[in-house]
Amino acid sequence: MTTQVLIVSQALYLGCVYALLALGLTITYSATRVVNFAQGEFFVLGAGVAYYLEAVRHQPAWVAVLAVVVVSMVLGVITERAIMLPIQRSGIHYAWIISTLAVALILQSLYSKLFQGALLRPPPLVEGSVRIVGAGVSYQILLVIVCAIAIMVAYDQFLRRTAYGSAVRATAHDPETTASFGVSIRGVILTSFIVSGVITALAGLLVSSVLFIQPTVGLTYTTSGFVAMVIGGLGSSRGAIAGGLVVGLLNSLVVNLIGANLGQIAIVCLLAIILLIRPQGLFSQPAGEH
Amino acid sequence: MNEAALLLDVKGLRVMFSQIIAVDDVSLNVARGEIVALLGPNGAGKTTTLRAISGLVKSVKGTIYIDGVRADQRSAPRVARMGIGLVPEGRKVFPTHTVEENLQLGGFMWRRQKTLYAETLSSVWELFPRLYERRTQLAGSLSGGEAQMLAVGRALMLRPRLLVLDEPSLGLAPKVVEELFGFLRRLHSERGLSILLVEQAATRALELADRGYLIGEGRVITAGSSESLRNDPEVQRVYFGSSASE
Amino acid sequence: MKILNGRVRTQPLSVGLYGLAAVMLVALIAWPEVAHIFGGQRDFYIGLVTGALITTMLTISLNLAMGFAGLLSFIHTGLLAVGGYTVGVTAIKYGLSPWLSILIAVVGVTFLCIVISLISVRATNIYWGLITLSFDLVIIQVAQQWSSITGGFNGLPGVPRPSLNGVQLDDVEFFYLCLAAAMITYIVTRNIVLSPSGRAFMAVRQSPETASSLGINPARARLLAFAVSGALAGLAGALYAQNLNFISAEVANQGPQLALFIAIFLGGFGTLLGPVLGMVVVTIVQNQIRGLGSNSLLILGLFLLASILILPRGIIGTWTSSRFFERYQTRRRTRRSADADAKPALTLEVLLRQGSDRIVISTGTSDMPVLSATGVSKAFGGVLALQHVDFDLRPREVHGLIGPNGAGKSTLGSCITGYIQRDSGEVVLRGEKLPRSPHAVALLGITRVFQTPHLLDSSTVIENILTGMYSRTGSNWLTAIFRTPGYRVGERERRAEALELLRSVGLLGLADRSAASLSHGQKRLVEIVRAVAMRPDVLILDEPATGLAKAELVQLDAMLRALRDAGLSMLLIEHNMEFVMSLCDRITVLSFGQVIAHGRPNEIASSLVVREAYLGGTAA
Repeated sequence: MTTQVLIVSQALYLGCVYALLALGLTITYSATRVVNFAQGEFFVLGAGVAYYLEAVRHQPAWVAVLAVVVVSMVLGVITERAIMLPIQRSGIHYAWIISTLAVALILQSLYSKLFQGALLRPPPLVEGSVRIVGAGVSYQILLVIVCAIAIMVAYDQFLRRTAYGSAVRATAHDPETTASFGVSIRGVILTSFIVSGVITALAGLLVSSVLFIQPTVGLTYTTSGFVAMVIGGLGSSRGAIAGGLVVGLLNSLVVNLIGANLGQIAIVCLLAIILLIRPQGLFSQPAGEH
Repeated sequence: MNEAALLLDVKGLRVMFSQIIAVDDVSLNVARGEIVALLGPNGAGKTTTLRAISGLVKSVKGTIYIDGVRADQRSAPRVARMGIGLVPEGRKVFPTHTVEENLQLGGFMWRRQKTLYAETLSSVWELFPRLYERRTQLAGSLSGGEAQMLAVGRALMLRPRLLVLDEPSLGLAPKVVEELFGFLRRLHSERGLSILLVEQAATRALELADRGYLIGEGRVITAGSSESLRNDPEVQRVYFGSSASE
Repeated sequence: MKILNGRVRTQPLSVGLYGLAAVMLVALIAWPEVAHIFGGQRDFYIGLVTGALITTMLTISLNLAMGFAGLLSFIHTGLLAVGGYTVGVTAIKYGLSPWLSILIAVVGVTFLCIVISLISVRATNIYWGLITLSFDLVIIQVAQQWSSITGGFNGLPGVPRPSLNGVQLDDVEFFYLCLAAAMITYIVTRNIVLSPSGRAFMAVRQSPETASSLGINPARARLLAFAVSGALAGLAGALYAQNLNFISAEVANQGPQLALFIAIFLGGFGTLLGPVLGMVVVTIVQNQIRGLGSNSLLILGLFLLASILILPRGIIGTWTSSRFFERYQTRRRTRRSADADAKPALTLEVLLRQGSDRIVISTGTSDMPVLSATGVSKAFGGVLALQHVDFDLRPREVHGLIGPNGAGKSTLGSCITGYIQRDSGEVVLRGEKLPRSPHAVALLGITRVFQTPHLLDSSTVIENILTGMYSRTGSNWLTAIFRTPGYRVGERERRAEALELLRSVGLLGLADRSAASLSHGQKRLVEIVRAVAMRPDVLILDEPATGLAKAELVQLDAMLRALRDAGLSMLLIEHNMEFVMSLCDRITVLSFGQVIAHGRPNEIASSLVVREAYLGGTAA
């Protein structure tokens, strides 16, 4: 029974991380049709700010949370301009690759300089663990899962129950018509960058005390989120969440039951299979809903 | 015509798409309380003119005034706030939103004024009871006629000063078009709504409108009251070529 | 609608750039000698340029796939790794000669690319990119996990270089080997791009729909481009591993891939010398910032962001769009404009029928239809777009298809060409039932010209016409790469025929102009000539009069008449009534997906039913 609990808890918390990463990517993709290679840098930002404030400055947790939200909002605004301006001015089809990669590079190098290769691992927000069916699950992991689910639900409700959320959904589908009802598309894009940045940074904050996050792993996490997003369905926020959970589950199952090294391979194989059989993803409509 | 009463005043409009002149020199106006038709064959530049008025494309020459305020070169959201309610070509309802959510989006600009918003919404339900029945249905599953009504209702939610419709009869059966035009007539007579209607189906449009402009090759060929246009041989010529005019 | 004149722009690659390339080549050949100035560090600098040459090969290969064929690829560094591992494993574990290993690496990577291409048949754009990304991740994982073969995380050391006379190549000899390989890479790429196969995948990149209507099979064209790109990447990978005597999985990461993207972008996507120029810049920049530690990445990122803002189209792209370039090129005007008025040497009819193995319907008005559609129906969801449409096309006829907006005209055209699959009914061409796929329909003899011209903007008019002849040559990529005499004779003949075609419709003066510099009307006319170069039996024109000025309409009318008299049957979907009435022999009118009238122009013009359909009410 211990293994089952371990598998489930690992699947859930990893799944939540991937889901939040994929959600962040999807939010900007829906509004701009751009895959943001710099997304993972927000993840590192969350971990970095948490580490700096809690481990180095010994500030209480709530300060770290506040700081992460504020800093990621500011960075979201900056990256929106840095990424979208070149795209809008350049004629070329692949401009988004260059601008998002450039921003990722800049951020990654800034982190390297700031943190000098230190491991961004603050002390856990909550110490101790609880016994579930005979196995020990740390409170931190439970916290990660709960908070992540809260964030996902909150965003989903925002999309579906608020007027602005409705406008965001409409923009993803038909920006022109949406604009003719008074919705500023530039505003939607900016909001998308900010929200996705905050969500991703919070994910980094949450798991920084559990995972081992180095300043330079941004691109790796972007890729993981990307994979989850595609498996779930490009352009669908619910799909992104589901995709992340699927990836987490698969990873956990494979690592615990088959072999510790094969987790990544399994995920990548799943991605390849999905792309070949059902390219719109597991949970999206072929036309690309949302 | 008294300039002050003009809700919409377009002068010398020219719109280009890369090297093509889609609209060459169009001048038209709509006074408060009028229904004006914009007629012409496919490709004449009617839709482009409408899109320029709505702020979806920018003109390179000419001016657009909405209620005396300069509107050309303004973005679509800005023009919406100036009172232009667009019913786009092909309806373009949001398929994954419900009927009610589509209307809510139409009223996006008024969302903070709860009373006004609620009033507007109930007036739309009253006008289109069939939409109310289907209010939780996804817009993508509506029939063509119902979608057209939804598109009109959505534009009405904007509380427009001028309702602008781009080929609303496209793809609809004649009976449905009758019904639709009936709604437009009601909107005009009961609420005094000003309407600018782009249509290829000239005869139908002229039955509804007070005045009309005939557009051909990006220019206004002729204009006048519906009466005069109905019998104008220019209409035949523009639609069917000079060999066809009797 | 009227047209404004476009700016004049001719061939992108000017003498200046070729001169630059020549200088670079000389510098490279002399490099080992020049490097003596570095004294003890000479070997380092030779190795540096060797590495740059190899990366340039990979960049050219990526540009072939991405810039020319439009295939977004995240796998090229992975291909480099596969090439390197192949060379390493075959030479070390199986003791094969390194020369042979190189060959195996090339074949192996090509094979991998063919497989990827085959299983991604239905993928477009971003999905193709995703598939390549996932395969790249697989490659990294396999390389890291399969330690018995690949050496796992530590990589594979001791990769031997090829030997000459029993001795492994030293740095200088290996440098020249890589220089030769780089030149081969460039030449192969150039030969493929400037060949029918190259034009084919460039056309597919621009618009798969248009390419299909010229008889090009998009899947096959992409497969060829990706396979050749793979072969070149495999070569680069083999040399990469041999250069460093080492290969590891790290090389397949997205980080190194980034440098490739930067290089291609800087030089200019889809240009031949772009990757080379870009790589030069990147190498210089990387070398300058090498000593700055973590700052180097920062500067690289800032440099990249700045360059996309300042040079939005890359170096070459921005140069060719600039005004200085235009002034420079204006002096190099075509000499052919003088011949524009010379009498046609061959008639259009001969050009359309010459050498054709199809039965020539030579006598005047035969009543046997060339194309006939019976009972064609198509529904989209609940909407009946076409309802039991009967229709036929006679030889030497311009048949108009008109109707109000949304009547189903374009849908009928698409059902005939196979772009949309009809629900029921039959379409028969010269007695043969039409196949399902659009490019097969085109090969049978039906081609289509779309409302928006889709010419290859960066090519000349004559090259665009040649693209239309693809169906007659097929993909002759092998002879193209080696420029065999047979190939060259064929190309000369085709070029001459294309010129004759242009001359016979009075457009010879446009032959050397870049397609991007043409006015809308001229593009429209050139597109029709391109379609006709296919020697089709049926030409479907989708609203060709759109956007044409009065003078251009006259030209279009004359061209279509000439084509009709030369034996072509045409279906003209159009809403410009004047144009249709004056040109067409017969007209079919659609409304709400049904045929409501059919007959000669004067009958249609006076038909009340037609009036009603358009104007939407009983005509007064």
